[in-house]
Amino acid sequence: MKAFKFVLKSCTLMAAVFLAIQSPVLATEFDIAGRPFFINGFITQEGALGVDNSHLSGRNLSAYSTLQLEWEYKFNDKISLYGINRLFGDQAYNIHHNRSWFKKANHQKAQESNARRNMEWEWNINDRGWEVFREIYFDIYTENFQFRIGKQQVIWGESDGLRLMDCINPQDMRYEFNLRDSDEGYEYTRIPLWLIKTTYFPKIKPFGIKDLQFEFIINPGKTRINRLELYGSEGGVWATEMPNLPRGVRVDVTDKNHATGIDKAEFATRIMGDYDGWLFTLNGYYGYQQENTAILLPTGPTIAAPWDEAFLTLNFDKKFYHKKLVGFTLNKELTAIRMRKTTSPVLRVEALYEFDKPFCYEGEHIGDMAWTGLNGKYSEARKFKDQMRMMVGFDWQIYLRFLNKRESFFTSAQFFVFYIRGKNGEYVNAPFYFTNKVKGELMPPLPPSRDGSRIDPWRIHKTQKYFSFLMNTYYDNKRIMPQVLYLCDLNEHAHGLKAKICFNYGSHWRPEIGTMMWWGDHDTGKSFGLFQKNRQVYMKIKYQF
Amino acid sequence: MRIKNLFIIVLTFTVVALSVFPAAAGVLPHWAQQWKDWAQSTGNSDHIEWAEQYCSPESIKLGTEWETYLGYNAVDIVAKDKTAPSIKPGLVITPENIKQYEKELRQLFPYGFEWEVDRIMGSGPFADYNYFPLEMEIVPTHHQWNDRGYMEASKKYSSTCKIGENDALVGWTAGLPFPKPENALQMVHNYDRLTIMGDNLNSMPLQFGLYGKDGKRERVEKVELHWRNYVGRIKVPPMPAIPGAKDIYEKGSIVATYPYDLKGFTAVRTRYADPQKEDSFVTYIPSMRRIRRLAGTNTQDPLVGSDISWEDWKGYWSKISIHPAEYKLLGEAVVLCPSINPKPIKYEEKYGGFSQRYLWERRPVWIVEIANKEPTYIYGKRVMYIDKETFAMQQENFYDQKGRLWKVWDWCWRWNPENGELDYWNPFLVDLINRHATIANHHIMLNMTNLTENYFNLRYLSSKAH
Repeated sequence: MKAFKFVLKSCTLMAAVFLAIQSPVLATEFDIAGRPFFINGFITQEGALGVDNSHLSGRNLSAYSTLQLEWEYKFNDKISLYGINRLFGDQAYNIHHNRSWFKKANHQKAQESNARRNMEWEWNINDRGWEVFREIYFDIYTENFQFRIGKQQVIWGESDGLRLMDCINPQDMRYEFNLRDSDEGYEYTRIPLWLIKTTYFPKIKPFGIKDLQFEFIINPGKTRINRLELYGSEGGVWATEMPNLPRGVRVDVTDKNHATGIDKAEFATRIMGDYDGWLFTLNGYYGYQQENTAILLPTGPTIAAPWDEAFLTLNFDKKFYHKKLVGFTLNKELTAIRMRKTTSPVLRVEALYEFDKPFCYEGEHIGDMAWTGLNGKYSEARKFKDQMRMMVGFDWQIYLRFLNKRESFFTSAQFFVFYIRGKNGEYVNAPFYFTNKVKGELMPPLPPSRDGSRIDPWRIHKTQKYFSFLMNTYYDNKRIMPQVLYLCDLNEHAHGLKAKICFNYGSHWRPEIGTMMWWGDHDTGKSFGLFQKNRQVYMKIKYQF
Repeated sequence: MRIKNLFIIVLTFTVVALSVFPAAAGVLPHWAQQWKDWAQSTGNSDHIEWAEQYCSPESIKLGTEWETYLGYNAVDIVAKDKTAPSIKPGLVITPENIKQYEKELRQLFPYGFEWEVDRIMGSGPFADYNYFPLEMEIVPTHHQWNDRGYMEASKKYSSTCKIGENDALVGWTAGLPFPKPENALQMVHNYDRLTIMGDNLNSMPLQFGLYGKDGKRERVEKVELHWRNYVGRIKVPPMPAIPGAKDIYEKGSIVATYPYDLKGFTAVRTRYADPQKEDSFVTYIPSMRRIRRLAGTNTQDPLVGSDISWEDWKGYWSKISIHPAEYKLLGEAVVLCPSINPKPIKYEEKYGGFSQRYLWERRPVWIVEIANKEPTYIYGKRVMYIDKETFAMQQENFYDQKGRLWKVWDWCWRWNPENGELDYWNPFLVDLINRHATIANHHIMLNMTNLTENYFNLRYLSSKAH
């Protein structure tokens, strides 16, 4: 198998290089057995420099390399095979792996052992997910059905920046958070799954609903969770922060994956249609939790080894709880509202209701830390609560002729509200939820109960509120595109900002420069503030063919 | 007596038949004969081949019917015009001999279209931007016509058409709403309702060549284009409207195929019959892998990287009732326009630029000015030549809100005289302020029977989604 994968990787690499140096015509379409074979792709190299006033300032934080081939072979008008082969990695793990600043980027000595192996290239000896074929599936069309069978991504929802209904594929969150590709549809970080997707087009118009279609998705049993590689493997600047535990305490999580089996099947369904200009979907999902904080189950403490620079280890197993939700999306252009008699906003709404979502339980008082399983007062480390999530957004293309005579400014504002019934603050982002202040002040780590005023851990608020704003425009016949994306966690007073300029000169080269900034109002231990040390400017050069 | 009556009947029938179908008797109408004679005189095989098609019995029959319906033909109108006598068929005007003909040539581009001469001379707005020099090959004027379906529908339905509130068209079913237009607004409605000159259209691919300040092609963008009329259908059943879709005027869909960062972008645009209802614009955005609604009201942004906006689509695709304007008929004239070009336009690197060579002829046109009343609208005004025979737009000037000449547009029509189908060939749009040009290379098929609703709905977007 290793040899086979090596051959595949080599072939992909050689094919990409060959296609890149050939003419665009050659690289676009071939004829195989009398049928068209389309192939495109790109090669990208990125580099980022830290600009925060921390030990990472001026350092080369990341050096992403991507080589991607996208291809499609049409057997006939009804059947085609589509695939993406991608070679992706962060060469910073190759370039800097021996440098002390890189090893200690998170001040966590334990987090360097497997970093280079896992992060340098996505294809590595742990190529468990067949990343050699990032996607590969058959499309089969009939008069009333479309079947898509294979490894694929299914994207639901209307939201950008935060994922609500977009719940089918998990995410690879090892490299960066939100800002890296949230403005580009999570194309880099979404993890494809082996799925069977069936879409039925009934060709009827009940109640005046046009374009009605029903979607059924089955994951036959190979489920995945968000990839975070908790504790003990990943190093480098984007590695998962060790929780800000008090000194002398560490966390260990079993390296366990969700078992594969037909009894682990996941199901999703969606109805889509257009009623008088309201494009709507009704969604339902029955699968498994993908968030790492939602699956940890305490198994008790052990004495830590001295070389771990700790005396106590909090041990966790993974428990794969079900995820059950229903929801809907809507969009419509509000033509009754006009901006100086030009354009109207497009309203986007997305809402879901999740049943029995598992939360790390803090207890009745802040500091009880029931989630550790060590507080005898509480029998439960988790609570299962229903949660509602909602987004209301407006896309509005407005003309500011004094700034841009030819093109509009695309603006997109979104308001998010997540609501949990229950006491405020009794659920926490454990074990990530301690702040630096807590870490500095608490010793020993596990008091039975403390006064809530003394500490301020990263709690999950009963009502969470977020805001995002995106704006871009084009100059010089769409050859220059400046864009700004701003994210705000209104509860934690945390902010994220990504500003970039893309240059679209010619048909092949696509350079881009930009910056990503994070702020946390309280300290660096919460929300976007976790990434404050990773403030950066970056440059990307892409050759597409 | 019987013999005499029989003789009269036969004679009458013969006269009628000869007048209606002159080609059947081997006698060509003068407008066809003059073109055929000229083609023969040139010895040019392309012209001779074209003349054969133009003078075929089917062409003559249809041309005669249209002439009868309109009551005029372009050849006769042009013959009465004595402007610029040196500009005559057979002449080829190039940057090398332009000075000899400049004065007369300018007379044939009234109402601000002299930029065509400047293009050849490298003067005026093209003084510092002469990368698209032109070679004009003058040919005789054609009598041109549209599809028979338009004529029959116009006869049947035009009497009910009138202008309503907000300058909207009322009472239209199919065909030309105003075959005898009395004012500029009616002329604009005529062109608007000809839509794509047929019931449906494929252009696979439609290629945009984008030319920068130095005149070099800096990008190519390719899309597959489909268009379909839901009402006003004149040729492909069901006619005149698709059952259950009378609220929709037309739908268009595109899927981008090149370059890579555009590839997969798919969009369906719907124009509604309701004068106050805005377009719907639903897209599949490959970078987000989502079906997303964009603002149908946003018609003023350029399409992809080109100089063309939805407002400019097919020369004019503004929803009249939404964007209030003053429509003025500046006059009628015989002008020089791109002729029917049966062969693809010739491009050569010549005269220090990207030279185009195509056929030109004198055409009778209406000159229409559309002055927009909205200060926020992208243009201050447009001026266009509208052909008096085909009712199609021939050339167009766009002025910004300050009154500066901003964009200029000409194109050739490709035409099948045997069935009257017209389609776009070589739309050429230059942005004179930003010094940028777009040449759209169409590969059009018209009036197909298999272009179904599945190219214009959510299923189409879903099928293109990855």
